[in-house]
Amino acid sequence: MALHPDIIALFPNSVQSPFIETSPSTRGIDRISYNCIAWAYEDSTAWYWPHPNRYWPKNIPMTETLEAFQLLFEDIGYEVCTDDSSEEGFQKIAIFAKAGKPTHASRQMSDGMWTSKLGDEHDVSHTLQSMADGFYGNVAILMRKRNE
Amino acid sequence: MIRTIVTPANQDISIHLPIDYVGKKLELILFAVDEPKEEKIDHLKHEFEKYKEIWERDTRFSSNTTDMINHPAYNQIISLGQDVVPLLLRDMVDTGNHWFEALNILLGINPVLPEHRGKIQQMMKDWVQWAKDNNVSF
Repeated sequence: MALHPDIIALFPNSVQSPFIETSPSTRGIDRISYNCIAWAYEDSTAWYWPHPNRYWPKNIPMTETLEAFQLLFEDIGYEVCTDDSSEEGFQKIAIFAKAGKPTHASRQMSDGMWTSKLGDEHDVSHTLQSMADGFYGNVAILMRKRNE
Repeated sequence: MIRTIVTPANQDISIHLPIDYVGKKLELILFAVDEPKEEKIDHLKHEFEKYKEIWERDTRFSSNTTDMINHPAYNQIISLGQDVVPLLLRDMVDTGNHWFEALNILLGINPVLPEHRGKIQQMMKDWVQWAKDNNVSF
């Protein structure tokens, strides 16, 4: 599936490293109700954001900080790690940030590629490199948890 | 029908009645007519679509609710006033666009139940219910 020109414009590295649109925009059809954070969190029932009118667990500070996002994932068993390669027995997530503010989260799949939901739009499979230096900035925190 | 525009220099209206009305009790009703309604609605729709397109273009890949509602185009839509509420409700139902905060600001209420916050479908249903309860058609 050829990449949508809008995606290439926002993620310039997508033309050099794998960045595959796994499902097209469903905006206005299914009315996607979750975002990239929820997708990484593996909860497709809510739009996660530290905002009074969106979903955010009560026990996590409602602040748009990397610390709060790290706590969000620690709450379900993730711990900070430094290696983005696929590790047997572990699942990983990457939190992206721009100018120090969290923007996005991706989840690693069993084949080592990463899966993301772009806002409430396209689902993509990608490397961390192909998403870097784009609309979401760069990876700020890598985390892993043992597979159940 | 008499149509006129009252100005500081012209505040009088003159009416000549046929002889048949002599001796009859009359009631005159005056009302102000705003600019034609359809024209006004078309303009509102045009402005809404214009700013919506900019907002969607700039925020479609964002998860950041704060950025979405602080976007200048989002605030331009809010500045259109309460007349834009039916358009927001229609678009919310059709596209799933997050107009919740614009509606909050324009109407000064939030009918979304606390347990529905972030559950987009439920949030939309709460707003649709509010519209039904308050006879707001969209």
